Amino acid sequence: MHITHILLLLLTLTMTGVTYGKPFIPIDDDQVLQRLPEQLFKSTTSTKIKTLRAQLKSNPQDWSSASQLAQHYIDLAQTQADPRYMGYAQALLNPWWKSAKPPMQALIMRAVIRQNAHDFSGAIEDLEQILSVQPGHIQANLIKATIATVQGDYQTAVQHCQQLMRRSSIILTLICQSTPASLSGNAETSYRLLHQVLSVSTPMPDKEKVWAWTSLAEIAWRLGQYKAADEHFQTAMQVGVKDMYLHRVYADYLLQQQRPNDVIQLIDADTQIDSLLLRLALAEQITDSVQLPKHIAKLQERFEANRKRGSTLHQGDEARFNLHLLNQPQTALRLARQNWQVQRESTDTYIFLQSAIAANDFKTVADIEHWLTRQGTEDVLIKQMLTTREDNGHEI
Amino acid sequence: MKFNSVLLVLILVSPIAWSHKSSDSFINLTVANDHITGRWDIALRDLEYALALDADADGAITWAELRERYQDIENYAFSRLQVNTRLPVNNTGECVRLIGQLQVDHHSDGAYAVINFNLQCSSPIDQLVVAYQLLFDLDPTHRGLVQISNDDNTEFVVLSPDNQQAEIDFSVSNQWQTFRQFLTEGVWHIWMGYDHILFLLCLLLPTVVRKTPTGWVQNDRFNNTLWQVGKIVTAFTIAHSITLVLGVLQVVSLPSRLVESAIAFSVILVAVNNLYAFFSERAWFVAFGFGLIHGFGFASVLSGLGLSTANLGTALLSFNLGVELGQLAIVSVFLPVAYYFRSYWFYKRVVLHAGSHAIILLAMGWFLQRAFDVSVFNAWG
Repeated sequence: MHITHILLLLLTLTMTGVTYGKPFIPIDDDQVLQRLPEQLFKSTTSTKIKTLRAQLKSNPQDWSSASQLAQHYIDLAQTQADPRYMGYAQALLNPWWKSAKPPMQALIMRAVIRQNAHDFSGAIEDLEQILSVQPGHIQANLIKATIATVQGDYQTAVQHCQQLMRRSSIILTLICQSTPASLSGNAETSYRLLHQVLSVSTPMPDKEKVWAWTSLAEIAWRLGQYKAADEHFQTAMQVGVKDMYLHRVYADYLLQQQRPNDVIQLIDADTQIDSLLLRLALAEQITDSVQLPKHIAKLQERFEANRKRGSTLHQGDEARFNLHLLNQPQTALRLARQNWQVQRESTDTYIFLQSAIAANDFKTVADIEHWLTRQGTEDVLIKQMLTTREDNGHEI
Repeated sequence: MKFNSVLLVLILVSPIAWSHKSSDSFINLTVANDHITGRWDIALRDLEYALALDADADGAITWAELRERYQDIENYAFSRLQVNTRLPVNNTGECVRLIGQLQVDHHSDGAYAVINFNLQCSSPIDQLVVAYQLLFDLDPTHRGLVQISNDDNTEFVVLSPDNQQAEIDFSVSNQWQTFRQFLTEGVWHIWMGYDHILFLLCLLLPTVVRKTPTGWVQNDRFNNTLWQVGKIVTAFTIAHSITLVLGVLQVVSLPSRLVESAIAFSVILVAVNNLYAFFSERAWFVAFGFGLIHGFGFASVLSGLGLSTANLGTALLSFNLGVELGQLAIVSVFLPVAYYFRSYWFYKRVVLHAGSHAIILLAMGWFLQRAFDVSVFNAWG
């Protein structure tokens, strides 16, 4: 650690606790204090949102405006990775959830909101209510498959994906099941099938394209086909949809491939998005960038703020921050373990395993290894971590 | 229609990693007798959503736009915050708000309006009731982070739609609870962390005897033994306290593998010394040197317990105190027993000699396991 690095850390540690910054009275009337997100004032979405808000204000009982507005906010929440929008949607939908017979779409949106608050059991409750009436409901099956995948229940995920075949396309079914199938012993087959389908150019909505190519890239990566993975990530990037998930995993891939400069190019230095900022800092650590101390301090401040409000939604990233940037394996292991109780995507497993290895917790390492073997997960990264245990390096 | 619904789903399903900061407002109340000085920071983005501050709709909120709406902001905010004292007979005492002042501050996620205010209550404040509803109707994920302090205590509460009210009782302190919790953890850790005990005991074993060219002979003066024990324990304590603080504050951080292996190595070293006495007079020096390493071990345990900046000071102090108490308890049992048995043959033969051999073997096992990841004790279980 550099001395500036240490001083900055100490400074933030003392600053984020009980004290606040120093408030001021601006001198200039025209001084801009806060720029609003572009999506709220000069996009087509912003015009729609304004109109819908006005409509709803004059007629609060109007389900059509309320649901459309909530949908816009949920979309924004996802593309911007900004939880405020989820909160807005939640407030809008609240009156309908309280009604005796909530509209189906209100339940779907509640499932999504709950899923993103990591209230998986609440989300599943909503989805089951829908599926008991319409077993083939596309959205409900897709979301349920996603939750099952995140929780590491790959069999259930595949089952729900196959429900899609009845009312939707074979392509969607394939994309849906590729990730859970690839994690439970069928990586090669999943890759081949999905690759074949995507090689034939069928018209697909952009979001679906990004999802498909990202999934394919991730499978290739786990199989150790790094060149193919990179190509697929590139294809997904070229679709032109700003997808936060894609940016996150592609940055992870570049880090693992020891390509820090590409990460620095990929991520905007002023990003407000913590998970991207974390990846940027990890890249800057490899290149020994002068920006690193500043970014570490900022991340520290953000994690502290989340902890203060009692949020546990960032434990995976916080574990990585503690392990790689602060070199605190015990803290990292505690966070990674709590995170893994809730979600078990590949990145969650990586950081749990790495923290356990770094903290010399052999029992936990063995438990994770056992779980992965039972699932039939094929993953070169995990293999590398287990064989080169002394290397607590910076990959992923 | 089918096509549309699928599109909608795709927007919904991919997992979101929440990455922006959530909406929080920060309230800081300082209580002195019957008076409260308050500061309330509310994000401009939140005020914009609730009150539409951006008058010219250019996507930027200027100081003029904010200042002109101050009365609206104040009315809006204080219609959603009630601070009152609770009187013994369970009725509330009124607190009257005096004129406030508007400022601005930057937090990690953007600019906040800072409302400074004063409250004059009808009686001295023992118990305070804070009720908060800001933004809950517009964004149920919003939280009010309230910090209340008087001369002695600082309380911190998070208010949410499910928990809109907090009662703060200044007659009891929660620092005491933190103190007790970490004190116990400290005692517990030195007792359960065998490597620390063995290191210390190995250093103490030879204090009741001394090495002469003809072998170990008993120490005749208790004062001499006490002086040696005192030096060793003090050196160990000072050293591990230093690195405990440095480690927890992350001023220095060492790889845990290195620390844990070095701790195991320190046990081997002092046990070997009991057989060959190559630093017997300098034992306190060794206690200090390796005490520095043991301190990092303590630090990683304490960090693993989950610290917040609010309890950091108390936790550090009480954990360390707990470690010292636990250590003192061990020494005070060990010393009289060892001193009493020092002249018996089995003290020198069995305890000192065979015991040290056994400890060397055990510590070597730890060392191999920690340094080279070799499973010696079937830890893979």
